[in-house]
Amino acid sequence: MTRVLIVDDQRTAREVMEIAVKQSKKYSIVKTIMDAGNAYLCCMNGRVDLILMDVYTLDGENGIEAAAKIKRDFPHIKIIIVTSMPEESFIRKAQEAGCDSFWYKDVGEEDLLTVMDRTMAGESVYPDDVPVIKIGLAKSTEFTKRELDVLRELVNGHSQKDTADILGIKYDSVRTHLKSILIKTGYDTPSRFIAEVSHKNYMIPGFYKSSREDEDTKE
Amino acid sequence: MISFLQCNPITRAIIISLLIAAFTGLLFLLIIRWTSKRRPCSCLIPALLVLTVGIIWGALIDAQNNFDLGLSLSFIGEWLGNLPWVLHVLLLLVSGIYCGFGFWRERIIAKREITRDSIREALDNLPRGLCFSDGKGIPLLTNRRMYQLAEEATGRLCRNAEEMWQGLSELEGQKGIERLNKENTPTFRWTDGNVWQFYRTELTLQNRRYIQTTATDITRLYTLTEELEKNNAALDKQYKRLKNLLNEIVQITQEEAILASKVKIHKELGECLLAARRYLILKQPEKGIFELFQQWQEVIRFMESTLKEEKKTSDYAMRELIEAAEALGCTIIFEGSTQEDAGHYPILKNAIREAMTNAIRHAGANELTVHMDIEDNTLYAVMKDNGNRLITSISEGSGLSTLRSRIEQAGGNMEIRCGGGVELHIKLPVKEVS
Repeated sequence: MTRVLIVDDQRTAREVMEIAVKQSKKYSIVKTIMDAGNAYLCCMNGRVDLILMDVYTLDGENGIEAAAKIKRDFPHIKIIIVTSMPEESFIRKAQEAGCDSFWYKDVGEEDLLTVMDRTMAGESVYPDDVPVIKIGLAKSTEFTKRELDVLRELVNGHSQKDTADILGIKYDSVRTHLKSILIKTGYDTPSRFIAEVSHKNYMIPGFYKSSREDEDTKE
Repeated sequence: MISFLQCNPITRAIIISLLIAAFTGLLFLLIIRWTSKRRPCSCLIPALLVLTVGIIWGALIDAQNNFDLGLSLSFIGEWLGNLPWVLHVLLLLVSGIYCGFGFWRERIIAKREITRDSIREALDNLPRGLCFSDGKGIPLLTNRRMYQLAEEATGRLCRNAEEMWQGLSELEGQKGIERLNKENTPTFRWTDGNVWQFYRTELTLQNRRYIQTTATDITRLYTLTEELEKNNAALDKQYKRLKNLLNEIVQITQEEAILASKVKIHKELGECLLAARRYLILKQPEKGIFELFQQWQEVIRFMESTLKEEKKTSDYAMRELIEAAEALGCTIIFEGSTQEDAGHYPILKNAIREAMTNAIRHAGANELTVHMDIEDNTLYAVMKDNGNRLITSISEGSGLSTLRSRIEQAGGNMEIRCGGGVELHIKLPVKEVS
């Protein structure tokens, strides 16, 4: 029997997962929690084999960061990241954190149990790409990597000037990227566009530190 | 070929007059070259030419006089008079061309040459004001604009650069001239609306000290700066608004989820009631009694879970933490004069969790005491475990160092004390909760 820990703060999603796990004879639920930060403590008694981890949990605790910590200290525990947010960086971050699989709650092509089975069999199941969403007139796939970097900093509440400093590029380049984004999406002001991006959960303000801070922590 | 003396009188008169003209022109050129103190070589050719033309002129007059008036003829006059007239014309041509070319070159050189006057003229045409003075303030070179500006500003003619600078620095504004800054680069709005900025720099040239005072028209720059400041202020405002908005988005999404579940309860409860009513009153059961019973149970369970969730979320996370700790055989005991989080709930939760993890993993503790006090607007929190393993030092892993940076960002500090159980001391300023 595989023992499963469910981490999700949304009731509906939690129920969906609980029902799925209960239906199967192969799995049993150890515990359901809402705060990803507490997952590590739950793993310490060694009674967890598989974690279904939401990314954005209670109090804004980051599920992927928690997963990375667990994977570091308990590498035998399998972790499946589950999310309904089309945030562009999640898949990459999950892979970096060493998570085994990744499942989109709303648009996952395979059902959860299949993903769980395959993960337990040692496979790594990742969707090919982030679900494409529409922001203004543009599809989320139309942005370039640098544009996404600029956008991330703006969503984090930095000014254009700070963004240039953080990314180590020129202020004019930031403006050019922003202009190009606005032309693609058809918004007339950056504020409207940024509000739309965060409303659609394409990027979540303050959830990830800027790339430079990331590097600092690594050092 | 006919000689000079064989020509008709008119031609002779013309040649002699032209020789006089060439002589005068060459003489002028010689004087100009001589006075412009150039190399003596450049005077040599005109001098020789003057001499030649002069002698020929004299000799030809002599020959003419002999011919017309029958006066006695000198040897040189006879010889030159009998030379072909073409030779004289050739000499005239050469002198004329040389003279013309010489004057043309002199003009070009005079134009190119930098003299005191040309410098002054150039400076007077400069749009900015400029004044060079020596260390004592005695002006060496001041342009027209500077005189004009200084006089308009100070109300008198400035004869000393130091005095002028003093006057400008102390000027607070008068006669429609408005002072715009208090720094050491006095800036004024002039009567005509233009903005002038004065500044001075020290120059050292051949070990002598000079002072350069400059007045620049920065009207355009100033207007643009003002505009930029205004725009920046507006942008700042927008960013603040946006930031607030972004902070609220997560909250709003949560509220939306709660609303959705409320709607669901309403709908499902309605359905249950309808089904029950059918069953009881109309006695037309759509479903069996057990099915109905199950439906009711589901609704009730659903409602219970929703009700639970509407509690403050922070209680949940903390309770989860306590439960998880208890599952590992460790109890959290809260002590101290306060249970308030002083606006630092996420940090405190993390600190407790970190202390808890370390207490269980490394110290083998089964009790963690959290002691909290608020004094002088500062929250003092101490987390202490009852671990039985002796720990003398702790190397901060990622968890503790992240916690430390978060605490320091919030304006507090963190200290780890070892010996007789590990203690985590945290000091945080009380945050005003809006």
